[in-house]
Amino acid sequence: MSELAQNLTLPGALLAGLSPGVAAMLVMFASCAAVLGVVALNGMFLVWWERKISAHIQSRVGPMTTGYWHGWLQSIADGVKLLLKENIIPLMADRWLFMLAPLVVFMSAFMAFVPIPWGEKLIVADLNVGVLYIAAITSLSAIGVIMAGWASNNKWSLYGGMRAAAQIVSYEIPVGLALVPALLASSTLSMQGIVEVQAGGIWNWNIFAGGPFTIVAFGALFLASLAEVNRAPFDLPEAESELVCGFHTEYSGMCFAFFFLAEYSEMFVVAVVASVLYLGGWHDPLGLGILPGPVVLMAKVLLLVFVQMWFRWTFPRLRVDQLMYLAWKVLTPLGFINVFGAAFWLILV
Amino acid sequence: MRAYFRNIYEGLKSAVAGLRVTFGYLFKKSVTVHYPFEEVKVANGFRGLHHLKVDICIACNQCANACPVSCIEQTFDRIDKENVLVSRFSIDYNKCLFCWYCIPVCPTECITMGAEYELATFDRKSLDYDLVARGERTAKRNMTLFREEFVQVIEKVREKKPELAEKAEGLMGDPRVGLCGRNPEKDKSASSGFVEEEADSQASVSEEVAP
Ligand code: SF4
Ligand code: SF4
Repeated sequence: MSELAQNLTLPGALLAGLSPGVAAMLVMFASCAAVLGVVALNGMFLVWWERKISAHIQSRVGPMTTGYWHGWLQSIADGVKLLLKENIIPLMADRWLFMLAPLVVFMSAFMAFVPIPWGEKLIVADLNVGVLYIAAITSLSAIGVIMAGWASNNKWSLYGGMRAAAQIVSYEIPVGLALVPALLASSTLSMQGIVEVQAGGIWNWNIFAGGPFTIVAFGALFLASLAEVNRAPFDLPEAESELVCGFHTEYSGMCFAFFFLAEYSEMFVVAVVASVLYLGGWHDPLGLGILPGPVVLMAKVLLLVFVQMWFRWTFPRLRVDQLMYLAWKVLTPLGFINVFGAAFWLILV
Repeated sequence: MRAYFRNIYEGLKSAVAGLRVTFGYLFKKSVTVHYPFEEVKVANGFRGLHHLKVDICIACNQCANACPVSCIEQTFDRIDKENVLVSRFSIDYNKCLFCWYCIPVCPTECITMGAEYELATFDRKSLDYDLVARGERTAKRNMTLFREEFVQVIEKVREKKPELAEKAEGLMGDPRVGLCGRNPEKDKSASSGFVEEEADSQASVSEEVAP
């Protein structure tokens, strides 16, 4: 957390007067609040945005009234409603697991925001294993999903949890393999380091570093990350039309809101990972460096999130066996080809 | 092996085709009508709330007989042999199923179904609509005309049925009340113009009414 304090040059006078321990605590709290603010704002914006996009794809208009301008306050209204609603726990549910599951899912989404590089000096903590950390932390959410499915004591939820378990073993390998070409190209695991390697315009981005192999790897990463965040067409654990609402059928009120927030935060995180690894992070395409880093990163991320939403409202859900086929028989071999291809390309070209 | 690659190719191709379709729709005009703020246009022949041209209703009760749920009720007084005072024509929209059966049976084609459909209310009782009250808007001109005839008719019946004449006079102040019981042919001419044909129609009415 100390990087943020140094980088933001927090008022030195304020911190100098305090003992180092208290100062560190304050910085930690400030960082947490900042991350939480980003998570909440991002979740609210994406929910509204998804409703708008889905509506327009279906020739509807989506929320229009709340806030007078295209329903821009709709998410806040939803949030207030969810906060005020009763949090129902089924009688036969496993109380503790039931309450814990949304927190685990939310926590994994929340923690993944920590090593995101927003700009040259704007990062909460530049871990030297940033990519590994994100890959590990985001996988934790699957445990929360399985917990929720088990604890609900409901057959639909249990099926949802089982599917999440089946899904995680399928997509984690393609995701891991699709990360490797970018790491080969930048030879570091730190998120900030990866971005720095890609400075100076679109032709320096990792997506073009390994010729066709990195381009394909980027596509594979995007596809597999859809499965990671349980988005259509891979939303098997949720599957409204088959499993009522899958693992969160029994959830209401704030617990449901946590799942919801976590889903949108995870979408954001995987889009950030894709744009940091392959699309140059906070560097703009022309290498001019005029726009502030967060704006550039946000533009890329929102573009990828838009594509995720576009996919969701275009494709029907895959069957379990189809997902397995795609992950094991198509994306995994492709991932190996990409790794070796990109490696040879980097050495030879 | 060939089938495997063919499968992947087909999948990618159909995915791109699908994405193109949805992207196109993203920029097409939405079909949503912002209902409470915008009006929803109904189709021709829509079976909405009833309209009654109260001035040509002859209180024959045909519509009430045709109604499968008996939701039509009329209150009328016979003034003399040819004239009827319809003071209330109620349709209970708690019961009405908008079946249209009451429309074709009307011999004078005075009851029709319109385009209104907004019935929401906080009180069930307020769904008992009085079509005489509603009809006043559509048939205002005729009713002005009839009011003058009405005075003549009242004068005529005053000797025989003084209490009815008094009641009719009391209702005169109420603009919603129609005096009815006429030949529809005559009504057409009467409704075609008020000022010019006033003398004419009044003359014909007085002839008719005269015993
Ligand atoms: S529409 Fe049908 S139910 Fe309604 S008043 Fe006419 S006959 Fe009766
Ligand atoms: S509305 Fe038509 S059918 Fe009904 S009482 Fe009047 S004239 Fe007769």
